[in-house]
Amino acid sequence: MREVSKSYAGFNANKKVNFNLKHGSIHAIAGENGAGKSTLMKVLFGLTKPNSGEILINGEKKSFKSPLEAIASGIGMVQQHFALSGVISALENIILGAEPQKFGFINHKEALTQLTQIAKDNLNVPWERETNSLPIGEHQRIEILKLLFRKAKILILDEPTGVLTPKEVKRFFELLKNLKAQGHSIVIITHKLDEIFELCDEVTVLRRGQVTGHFKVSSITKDDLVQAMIGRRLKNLPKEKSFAQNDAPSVLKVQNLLVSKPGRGKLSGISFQIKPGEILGVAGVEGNGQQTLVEALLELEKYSGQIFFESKNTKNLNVRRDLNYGLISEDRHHQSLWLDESVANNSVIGLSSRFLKNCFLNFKAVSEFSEKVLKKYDVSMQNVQQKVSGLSGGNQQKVIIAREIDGRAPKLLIASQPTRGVDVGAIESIHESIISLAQNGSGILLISSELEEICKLSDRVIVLRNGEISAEFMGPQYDTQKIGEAMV
Amino acid sequence: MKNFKESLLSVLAGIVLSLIITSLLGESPITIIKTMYYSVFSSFDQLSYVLFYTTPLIFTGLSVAVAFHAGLFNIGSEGQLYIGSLFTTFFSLTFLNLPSFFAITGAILFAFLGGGLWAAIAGFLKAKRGSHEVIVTIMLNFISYAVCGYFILGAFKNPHSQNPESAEIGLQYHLHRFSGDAPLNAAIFLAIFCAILTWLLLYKTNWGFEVRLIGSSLETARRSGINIKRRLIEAMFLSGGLAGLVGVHEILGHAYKFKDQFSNGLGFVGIAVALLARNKPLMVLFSALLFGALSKSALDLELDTEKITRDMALIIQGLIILFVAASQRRKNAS
Amino acid sequence: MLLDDLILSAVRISLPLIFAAYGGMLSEKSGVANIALEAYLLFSSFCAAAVMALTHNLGFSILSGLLGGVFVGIIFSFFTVKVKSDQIIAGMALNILATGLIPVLCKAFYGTSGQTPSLEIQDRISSTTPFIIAALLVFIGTFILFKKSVFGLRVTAAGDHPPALRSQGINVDFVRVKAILIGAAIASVGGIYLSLGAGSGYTRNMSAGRGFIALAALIFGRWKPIPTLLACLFFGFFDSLQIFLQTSGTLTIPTQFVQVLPYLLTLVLLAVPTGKAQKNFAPQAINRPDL
Repeated sequence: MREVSKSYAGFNANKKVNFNLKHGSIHAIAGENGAGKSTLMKVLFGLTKPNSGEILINGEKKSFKSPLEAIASGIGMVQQHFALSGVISALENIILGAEPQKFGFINHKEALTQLTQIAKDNLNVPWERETNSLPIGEHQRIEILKLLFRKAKILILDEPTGVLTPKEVKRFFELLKNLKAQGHSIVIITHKLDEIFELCDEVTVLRRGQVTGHFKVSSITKDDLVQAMIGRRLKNLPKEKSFAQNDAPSVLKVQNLLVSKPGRGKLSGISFQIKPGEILGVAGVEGNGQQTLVEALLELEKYSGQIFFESKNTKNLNVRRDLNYGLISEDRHHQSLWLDESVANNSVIGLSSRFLKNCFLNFKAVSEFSEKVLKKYDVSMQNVQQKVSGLSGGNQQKVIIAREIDGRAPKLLIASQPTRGVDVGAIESIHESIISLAQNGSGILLISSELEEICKLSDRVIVLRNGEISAEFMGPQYDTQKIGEAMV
Repeated sequence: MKNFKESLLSVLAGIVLSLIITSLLGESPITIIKTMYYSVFSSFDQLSYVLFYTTPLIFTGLSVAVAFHAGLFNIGSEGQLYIGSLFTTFFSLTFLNLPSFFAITGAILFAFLGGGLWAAIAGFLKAKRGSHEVIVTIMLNFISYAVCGYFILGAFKNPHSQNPESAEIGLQYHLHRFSGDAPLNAAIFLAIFCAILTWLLLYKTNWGFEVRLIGSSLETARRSGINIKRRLIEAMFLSGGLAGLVGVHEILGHAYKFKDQFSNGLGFVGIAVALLARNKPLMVLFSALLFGALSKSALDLELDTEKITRDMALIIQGLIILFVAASQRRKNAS
Repeated sequence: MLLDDLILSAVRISLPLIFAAYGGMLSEKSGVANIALEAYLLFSSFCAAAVMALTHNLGFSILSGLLGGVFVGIIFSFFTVKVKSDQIIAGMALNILATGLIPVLCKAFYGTSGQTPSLEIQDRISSTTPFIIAALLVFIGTFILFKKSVFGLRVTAAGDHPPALRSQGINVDFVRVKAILIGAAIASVGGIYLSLGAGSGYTRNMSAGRGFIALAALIFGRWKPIPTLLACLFFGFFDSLQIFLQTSGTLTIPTQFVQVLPYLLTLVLLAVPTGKAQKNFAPQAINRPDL
């Protein structure tokens, strides 16, 4: 791929990217979330058209208008979210869209012969079983078989191990090495360093849409790679002041929290506690159980184990209403806001019952309240009667922060990605609010994929990986390198 | 404003398209428009007939609108209005010696209660079991027809008539009529009152705040500590209760007895009314007026033209629903 | 003898349900909720009877019955698949439209209020056999379609997880339109049966809610060919039993109780938790234009 550029609405997802895949090799594309890895591969697979640049396959210039054309040229891609139907069999999923047929009927025998040939020994899946009944590891193999069935020579895999158990990952890597030995070329999009070193021959690193490095894996160190991914060696920002009352009884105590789920998002029996005034950072790559943790703490997800809030078991309680938990959800639009309503009304979601006046909502009080809590955040808007959907992302986030921190004044705040998509100035004021809440003696669970944010704010850091706490660190000074390693 | 324009366009498109259909059938569109115009505007009496047809549509329109606000599609208003009518019939045939005020108040409450409870079944199944309210209310509709048939032909039967209808209610239950001939009655005030009350409930109370949040942003509601299950059941109760009040209009205001199958689709027209009003309770008044006028003028079309029947109203309704739905693809509600 | 009569009458009553249910199955399995079955039945039975009264030609009549249903299917698929309107609202609108349009057509063509002229005996299909055969063919065809055919597989995938098709370059909308139209044609056979087989011409509101009972049977049969057939037969059997008991006067349970049975059973099915993992049998992509 030469000089490929792609921009969405003025945002440069890829900027003059060069990418060179050798025959029979495994090539990693590494980078942080949003570095443009997936976009680049979508261009290659014909899912999106590049603004400029060209694609050459075996020296021949190609331009794919749709995945069909890419498939015809021997390219196959496994998306991060599997494109499998659960109610049909494994075999049917594999052949779907390219069914061997006779007079409109599926030639089942022919399909099975072809597949057993492709699968040989190491790729067997239970062909006739309904896909829903198979473990996630098998889903992954079905996706790979889909590509091989269509005679793909170039396989693109977008974060393929995210949903697999460690055992499944091992099997999966063997499979990939086998495929490589058979002459397939493989591209893996990943941010897990271990995988790159264990599996890959080459690695191309993207950062903010641009290539920041291209290495032979055998000739580099982890440090080099991290630097290329993040742009500089991580700064160690020590936490300035701690307000943790370590002798006081815990605000939140979680014991053996277990949520079983297939694939992403399981929790395998984690325990931790938060003291008054303490900020507990939860680091980790997204999709390692953070969402499930939040849902379990909110009693919205069934779990085993125990959760105590100020020594009270929260099982089946409406914790937001009855225990006044503060919550900053990671998906602003769908989990925190009421988009077709005013800023004022958004300021009182979950708090509206506090503004009653003879059975009616006192909208004047709601507006005054909204203006009051928003004042210190300097939200740029006409007035609080404006629709919240008209605000910028950062300002929307401020509305949520003001509601959950200043409006609720909670004893426990669960903050999930509190500064995502927010400009630098806003980040500062959000951080200040979180710290001052801790200063007032509240406990805070801070979930973030921004390591810097975690290190700057947390008194203590736990790392979530595959639903387990893979490491725990004490502040105030963190070794980001070590945290990073525990994450990936 | 954009919504209003779209609604207006949908209505126009519906009317124009049905005029095209009828002119293909050989009826001059000008005759039709003239007939419809005179049918509605020619005299005060005509207008009072229009309002008479409007009244039940206000109830069913509000019913569908309330459910929509909670993110529920209630196509069971038809069944709920029958059960409400049944309850009100039961009340008026049971308490024969009440003074008029208490009689009418009781009958109104019973109509509301009947429709509300019937709809609450669907709300309950939705909240507790996740059963889709559309399927459930379709089934409940058919069950309600049978239940009403059972009582009308049985316990409540009119001993003086061969028709499938209940016995007549006592005079103290009759609602005031405005002029001798035209059937317009005091139920229209109840309807307008309900529209205002529904508006207050939805937009001015905490209950409405929570219900509307559930309907438009379920995940935010779920994470904010709102008791979603309870609100869903309550919203369905209100929705069904409003539909049940059609029984007040029909039985206390018009027929003075429960005639089997009297509604013949009022609940379904409610869907059109609510869609066109974009579920705004006060707009429902105007939307219902439009469809009321449509029903009235379609009746006159049947009398005054050779080729058109009252079913013309259904054609226009169906088309308007299609067009409004096309212009506002429903946000995912479940 | 008695049992024979009962079973035959049960089959007769089931026939339109079977056609409508399988017609609905194709649409729903492809991910388009279909409450417009009533409109299919009404319009196809009207068209068949109207053309028969006009031409006295069986072939034309059947053809126009099929085309009538497919015409409704075209409008339905335009709004649900192309425009992506809410599927329930669109279906509802078509039901209302059909109940309105047909009487107006009847008045314009025949000067009647909502029925076509009564057909002479030679213009009717007085034997039930061809319809029973057609129903069997539809059943077997649907069964094989979903078990063995390429199209059936794609329909299933479109209704369960459209990205599985889209990622392979298959046009999901096209699959759905085809499924809806074939379904409409199947349901139309039920309409033709109503006006040419069971009745002699179209009468006002001829389907009388059968489209909804068919929908109930489809849900009761969990969208699967064999259970759906059994559900249709079961509903038909109870109806005929009820008629038998009423006419013979041996037992007097109110008709209403038997009438509501299909609906009540479906309601109970929806209300009872379905056991392991709360498995949801409905095609996952129904009324989800976002998928």
